[in-house]
Amino acid sequence: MATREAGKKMIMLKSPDGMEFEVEEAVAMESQTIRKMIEDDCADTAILIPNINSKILSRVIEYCNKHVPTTGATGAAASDTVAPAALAEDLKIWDAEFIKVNRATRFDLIQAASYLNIKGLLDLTSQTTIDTISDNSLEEIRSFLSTKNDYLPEEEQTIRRENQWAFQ
Amino acid sequence: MSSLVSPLHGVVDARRWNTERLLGRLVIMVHAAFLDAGFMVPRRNRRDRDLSSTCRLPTEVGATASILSLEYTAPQLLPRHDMDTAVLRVCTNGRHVIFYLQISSVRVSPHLVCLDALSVAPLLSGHLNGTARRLLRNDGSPTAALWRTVSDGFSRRIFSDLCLVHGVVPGRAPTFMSLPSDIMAAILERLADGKDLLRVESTCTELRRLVSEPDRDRQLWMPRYKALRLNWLWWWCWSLGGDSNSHDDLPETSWKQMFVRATRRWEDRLLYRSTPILVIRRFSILDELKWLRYSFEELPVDAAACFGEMMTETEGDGGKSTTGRRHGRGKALAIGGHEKQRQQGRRTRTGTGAIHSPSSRYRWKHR
Repeated sequence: MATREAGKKMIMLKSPDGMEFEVEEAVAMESQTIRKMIEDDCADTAILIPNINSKILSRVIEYCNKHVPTTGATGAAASDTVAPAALAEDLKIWDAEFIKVNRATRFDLIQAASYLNIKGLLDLTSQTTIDTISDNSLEEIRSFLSTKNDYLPEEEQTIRRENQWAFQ
Repeated sequence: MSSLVSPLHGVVDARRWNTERLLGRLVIMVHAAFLDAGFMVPRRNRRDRDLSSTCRLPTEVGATASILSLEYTAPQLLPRHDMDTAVLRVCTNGRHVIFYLQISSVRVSPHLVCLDALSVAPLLSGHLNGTARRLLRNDGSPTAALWRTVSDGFSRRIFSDLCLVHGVVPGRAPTFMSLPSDIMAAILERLADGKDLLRVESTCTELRRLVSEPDRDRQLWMPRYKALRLNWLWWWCWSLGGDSNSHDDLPETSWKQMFVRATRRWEDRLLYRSTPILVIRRFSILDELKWLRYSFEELPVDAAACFGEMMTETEGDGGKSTTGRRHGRGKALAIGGHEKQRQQGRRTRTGTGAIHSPSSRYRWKHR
């Protein structure tokens, strides 16, 4: 249920495995999906987030907490007191640490970011994935993407011939 | 490189398959079905970093089947301290082999599957490759039916139950392939190098299908092709002539093929022809000379149209000046260099200069 804590409106997010997370409305609204629900008055009770388990949801909330534009007691944005460049650099370093997770968690985060429509998180996770794929051999890409070579030998030859340019 | 990768190949090699008795082969097949359903073998020892242990079976599994106890869990449960497991055991009753599986924390009757040993034995008596191929066939053959019974009717159902009991999302451990196709495409769209996209496409049939769908082809390859054309537009118009016509709306083949062809032509030219490198990079005096030569002798007319009509603005200097502005990309008739020169001369004499404004289209006496 949406509550107020020290003047801040709080939102309850529930994962399908029963965990509940109380977060500030501003933090929850980093997700465009939740923002739309709140704006359409569909979120007066706890919001159930299907398909995202508590482990991943807690990471997503951690990301949103960090990236939400913070305001001080006077109402002035924190970015007014800290140089924007320094703030951006700080966030960049934080993001680099945040994304140091195993492969499965990263794909879970991609899925969660896509479902909740959090552009920054989707960009971060997707770019990390792309960095891993780029400039790697076919076998390394297969290993990273957890795919198996299911081509018949003649199909494989055709594809090799067709895409020969990529293997030079 | 083996092109056939079946669940069986993931847990056993041909040497071991050949040495196993038929009951052992049946246990191996059921084990493969469990791993294929998404289960994994839990590693109790944190120091055990051997990945192969996720599918390790005891040696001589057939000989020890009566005391066999294989533990499985869902990867989604691994982070939990109260990680639940399912234990697979096997027993025989007359001509029947019964596999039963109990989820440790759930007080319900165990799941079981009963197989007729006499019917199953001939199906598993062949070599590994042949058996694996027959198991995965999508037909009504007895071997394919056996796989569907064990996989769809037993292991996948249990996996789904285990996940539901613990409130986790059933499914395999998340991988790139488990993402929805639009997310996969959105990620692949970010690959900077077209070669990387080609390599990704070459990894498996599913990704090849994804990338080659007409909509995906447009989404993934068209921006690359357009970016290439923008980067080297001048070069294209110059060296390849007629290639500058727009194919934006209806590609002849596919955007991928157009991109690959265009890039290869560029690379070939860059690598194997030395002269254009000197000429293309910057517009120098050499460029000007070459440009003059191309303008009047060799440049195809449609490429000239692409660059715009270069005409004199002043009457009386014989049309020799070539300064002017570039206009549009209209297509002119294919005529030779001398003919073009004559035409240009005529235009200059009649005072019809570059078409910059409506007034310049008509001579004074017609206004």
